[in-house]
Amino acid sequence: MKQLATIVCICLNSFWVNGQKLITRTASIGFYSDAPLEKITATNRQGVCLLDIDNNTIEAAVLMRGFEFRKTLMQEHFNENYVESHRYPKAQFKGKISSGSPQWTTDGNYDVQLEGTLTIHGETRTVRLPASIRVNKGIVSAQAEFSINVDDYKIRIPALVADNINKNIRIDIHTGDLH
Amino acid sequence: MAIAIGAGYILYEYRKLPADLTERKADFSMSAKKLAEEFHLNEALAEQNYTGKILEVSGPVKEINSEEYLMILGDSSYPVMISCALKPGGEKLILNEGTKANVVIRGVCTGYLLDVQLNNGVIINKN
Repeated sequence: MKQLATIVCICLNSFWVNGQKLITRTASIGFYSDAPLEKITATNRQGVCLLDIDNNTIEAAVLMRGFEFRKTLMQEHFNENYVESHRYPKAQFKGKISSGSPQWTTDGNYDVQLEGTLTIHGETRTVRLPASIRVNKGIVSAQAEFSINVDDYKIRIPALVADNINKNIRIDIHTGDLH
Repeated sequence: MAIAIGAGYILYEYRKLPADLTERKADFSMSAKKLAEEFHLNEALAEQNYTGKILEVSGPVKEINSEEYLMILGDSSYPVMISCALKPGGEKLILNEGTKANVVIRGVCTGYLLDVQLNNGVIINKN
């Protein structure tokens, strides 16, 4: 009987711990370059985001080849020349909620700061990102908007296309519902 | 004359839109389960073989995300799922929540991240 109780406790504990991790495989990540000669946008709809509401940590990753561009040539240049997707297939953020206190069981919008490391093109930088967390009918979602400078990630833009690509790229992330 | 032809070619390449995969021949055709198993068994080899290639896969619909135009193929017997980002505006009829069918999808393999991912996808057939 004692053994049975122990097993039940372990199972419940396991369920509880697992229950604190929320995930989506369909986060939308967009980026925007606004340069004098051209505006470039691309979106990836298959980002993965894992939120541990027990210890307020967050991890997100995306395949670089999964970004969809309006023009084929832009997509080819992005993958082959700039981010070198064959060498660095993933971009990744690992961090935690460093300020702000979302109430995971209370509906509302919560502004938070994320602090962690962002890895793009094989280069890792420490970043602080503003984000917003929404709890609606118990369902959690999150979004973030921030900019990066391509020089920080050793992404080289040839002088020939300097007026076509802004070195400061705006990034939008929408997780959708996390389960 | 040569300059004009060259400029025309550059302009054509610059303005070219992503290919409509309904008009393209797949590099590989297989069941979604076989693709899932290959990535599960040897991710590096599968990445090498399939990333950037046009794949035609057939399998059961596990999940549909109408908002993002995504379809997940697989069932409980699959080691990993196949996630396909469909070309927006393509196949509205099948993108109803609750649709459970076997489909054939053609898409470009972009690699593996929890799921095997395809994008620019089009639905070729459904049963």
